[in-house]
Amino acid sequence: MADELEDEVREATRELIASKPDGLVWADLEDMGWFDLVEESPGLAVGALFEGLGYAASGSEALDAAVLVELTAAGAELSLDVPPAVVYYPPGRHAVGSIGSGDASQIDGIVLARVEEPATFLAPLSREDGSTTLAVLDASGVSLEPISGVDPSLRLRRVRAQSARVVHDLGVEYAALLAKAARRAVAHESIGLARAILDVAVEHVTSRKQFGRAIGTYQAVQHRLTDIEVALGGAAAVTALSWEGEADSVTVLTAKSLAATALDTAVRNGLQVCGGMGFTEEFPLARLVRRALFLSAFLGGGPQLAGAVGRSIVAAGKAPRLSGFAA
Amino acid sequence: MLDFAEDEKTVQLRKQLRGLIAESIPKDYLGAFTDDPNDHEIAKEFCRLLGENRLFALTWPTEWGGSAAGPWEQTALREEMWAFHEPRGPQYMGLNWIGPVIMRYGTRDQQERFLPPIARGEVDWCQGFSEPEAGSDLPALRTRATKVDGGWRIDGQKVWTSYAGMASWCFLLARTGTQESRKDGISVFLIEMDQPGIEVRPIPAMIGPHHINEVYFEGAFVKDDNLLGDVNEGWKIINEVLALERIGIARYARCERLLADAPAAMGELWQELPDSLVQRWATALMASRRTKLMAYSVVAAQEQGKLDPADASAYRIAGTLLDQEVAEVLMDIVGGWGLGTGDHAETFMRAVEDHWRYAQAATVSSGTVEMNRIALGRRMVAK
Repeated sequence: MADELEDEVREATRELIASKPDGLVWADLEDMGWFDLVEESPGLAVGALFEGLGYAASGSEALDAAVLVELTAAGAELSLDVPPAVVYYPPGRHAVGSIGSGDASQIDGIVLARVEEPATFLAPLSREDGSTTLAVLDASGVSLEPISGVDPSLRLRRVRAQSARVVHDLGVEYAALLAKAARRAVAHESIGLARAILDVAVEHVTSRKQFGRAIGTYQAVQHRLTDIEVALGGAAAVTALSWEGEADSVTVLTAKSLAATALDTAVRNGLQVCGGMGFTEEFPLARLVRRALFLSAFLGGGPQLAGAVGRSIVAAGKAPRLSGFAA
Repeated sequence: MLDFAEDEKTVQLRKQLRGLIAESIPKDYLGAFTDDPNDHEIAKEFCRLLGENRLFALTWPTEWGGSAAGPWEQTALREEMWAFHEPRGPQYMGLNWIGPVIMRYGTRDQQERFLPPIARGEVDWCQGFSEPEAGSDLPALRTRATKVDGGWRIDGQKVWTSYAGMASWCFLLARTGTQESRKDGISVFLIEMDQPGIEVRPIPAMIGPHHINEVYFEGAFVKDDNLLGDVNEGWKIINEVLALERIGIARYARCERLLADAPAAMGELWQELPDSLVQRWATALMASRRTKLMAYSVVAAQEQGKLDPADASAYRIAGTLLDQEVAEVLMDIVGGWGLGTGDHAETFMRAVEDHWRYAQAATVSSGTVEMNRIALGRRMVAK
């Protein structure tokens, strides 16, 4: 039964994504009933949507939706009718600005939301005591400019402001929840994308012939593919586990770290087995690799988050078992 | 025990080369592979300057316009050039392998016609090796040379040809035997690019502009005088070219320079890097130096005429993997835009990005790492 529902959801999600080549916006998710589904079975709704988006290397503002539903489900007072645009941190940071008495300052982050001029922003900000809080900011005086990165189809924008008025400070728990929700969704997206790269690679090595045989018959080539499969399998297992019961942040950090590493492996090995073809723009790999460059580093890359996992384990004094049987 | 301490001559040569680079290459120069035609002009001008200082065809015999310098000076030249993004543009091909095999296999007439212009840095070459169905399996190449009056007619297609759009000559492999003859039916032609039977189409690719092209030959003509070596005897020439190509690029030199530059370019942000990343940085720096020593061993063996192709493969494997590991480490260090502001930081960031893109293809171009592993592996288990 559950499997049938899952197949159905994945199929519907794939169709929806395929029908919107410019990328999903908030209204598309409403139309497909995603917001109802996410209330019933959040793991399935987020997993199917983001793995589908990753597989298609589709740009969207769906991450905002995934983050905001988790925040409101946990009691955050945020409007889903006129949602704030979430400001994500650039690689290597944990906040997009700071908050002092009253105002926010030095805002510098990334926005995925597609709405031309958002009325408010939702931004993780560092406090003077070193903690990170989540605050709704008024959009006046905030500049938005397109980022011309490696993957223009993402339509990323950089948001900057010297200072911004704080409408509502939600508190530190919500900042942690935002990081968790966003990383979990991006882990799913990375897994879908790595799977897409693997599929392109498998298709190539089974059709490309050298020395009179398909290059996929060579063990050296097969090993490249199995390394992707193993990295992908491990990342998918931990990401699925992060939906069991109350997800702790270490499990989510581990999931994102492993998903980013699987994606890095898929890029390295996928490009290698596709040879010169893989580097050309007309081959399907180029698009996927561009997205992977962003997604792997977004919200922390593999080695960086592995460091964060280590610090969390040391701070907590115990390691999670990742088996579902942790005491 | 090998002693790799540099002699005074080599030390002076490095100093002189750095002086010339500082004088005439813009600080933010990233090589001739860009959309800006001016970058190719800079490379041409730099070659003229090297020529004036008798540094261009450094190791060539004086007879052909060289300075008859030894392999260690050539190594220093290679390192200094690659560390500064190869300001000679495509010239290293003519100098390092096309010229040397013309010296070895060319007729007196070919040597007199082709070598002096290469030595003066006046002519760009490209090499027509790979084809859509002949990549790793190069002996499967199908581009056909048919005997006609006074020369050969060329029909076929080459791919991944670097600099094809800029080059005036092509070092071309074509089939003169039957298709089944494989290695025994290939000949080498020196063919002029500017003729109606040749069309170059750039292939848009993620490693950056002008890196790769397709070249179509339809009734192109090459005269008898421009056949290099004997008919159907091209494979031994190719083997020499491939061996020279494998050791021709000092990838480790740019790796070492960029890694060494990183702390200064990052400024205060360097202190905020996690320990694990600083460790990877240090490990990569050690790997750069280790690879340099492997290169020196290969040069020493070459100097004594004892170069084993397996050692060239081992060095090539180490060098290309190094390129990629350094690219990953540097990318992790600079992050998305974690870099501070200022010209130095900006230039460094662009250099890292350029290195990253180029490094991705390192284990694919000029022989995949798999083919090099096969060559080395077979040698190791051979009785």
